[in-house]
Amino acid sequence: MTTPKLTIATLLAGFAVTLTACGVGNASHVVARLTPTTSKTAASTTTVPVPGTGAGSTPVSTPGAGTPAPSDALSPQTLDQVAADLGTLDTNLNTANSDLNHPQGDS
Amino acid sequence: MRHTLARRIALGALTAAAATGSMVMVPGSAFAAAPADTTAGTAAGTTTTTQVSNPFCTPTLFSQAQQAVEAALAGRVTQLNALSTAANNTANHLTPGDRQTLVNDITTAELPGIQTLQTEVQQVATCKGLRAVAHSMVYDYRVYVVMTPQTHLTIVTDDETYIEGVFTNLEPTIATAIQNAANSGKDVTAAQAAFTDLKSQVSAAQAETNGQSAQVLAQTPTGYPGNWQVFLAARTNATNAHTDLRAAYTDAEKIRTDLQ
Repeated sequence: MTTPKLTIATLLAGFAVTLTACGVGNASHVVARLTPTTSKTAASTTTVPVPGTGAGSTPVSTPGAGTPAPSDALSPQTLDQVAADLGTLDTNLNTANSDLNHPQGDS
Repeated sequence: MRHTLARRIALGALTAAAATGSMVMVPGSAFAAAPADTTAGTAAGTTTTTQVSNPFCTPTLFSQAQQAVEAALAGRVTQLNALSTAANNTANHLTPGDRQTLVNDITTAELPGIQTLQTEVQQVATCKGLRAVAHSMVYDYRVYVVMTPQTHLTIVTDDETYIEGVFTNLEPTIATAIQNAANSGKDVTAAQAAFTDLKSQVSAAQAETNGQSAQVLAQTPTGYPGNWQVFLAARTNATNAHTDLRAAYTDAEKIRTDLQ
């Protein structure tokens, strides 16, 4: 009886070693899930310093690692924001022109 | 801070003392029916200012003159508050440093100085005293002809610099998009031409705005009227940069349309 028990014990021990080596039962062993990849990566919004803005920074859309499509490069949102900034600039420039063309008083 | 309140007060005391030396010399429009300064250029490129005497403060008209100065001071407080609001408005793209400089000048030098004069004008009882207050109001603070264009031109120039930065950051992405379109067999001739022009327009705008804010911010009330030319030159540069950036935007729209 001793020999069969020893054989079974040896086999179980070997199986246990194998399971341990494979990581079975170890919750910390995470296998990365493979997901389909695409050729295009969505643009990410990061903070990029803009020349002339001193210590400030400006959020702009920058390309991701993938291949940018035209819509990523010049999305309506991007151009709309530029248009809005240009509109504000128009107003401020008109104000500055008014200051210089028609100063209030001489002082 | 470029010009401290203490420096201005000291300057005001000096100029006021100088003004009181002549009872017929009246500073600024608060005491004059017409603009009091006439400016003439010189061969050296500097300007000189001659004051035109047009007094109306007499003992019998003192109260009327006092009210005129009070109104002029109140108008300046209103204007400085408007400038402070503009400088603090985060919808514009003032750099943090420029915003701080403007806000400091407006709220810690100009506004308290004018408000002090509002108190003083209530206490004076003679034309001489009233004249000193009016002189300081005009010559020490230059709310309309220095602080106002300085604030608005700095906002404009910093706005333009910001937009230049947006375009500059977009350029690599646009270039890649055009290249990809070309690789896929698309005719990108027009898009490439527009992109070339966009880069040229942005570069031109950058050249127009480079250093302008610093130059405008360096102007002080005591530099008037000589610094008026600085403001006019800054306006010209800002206007040109505005035209360039508008053209760059048109180019961007065309690129987007062509690549769709």
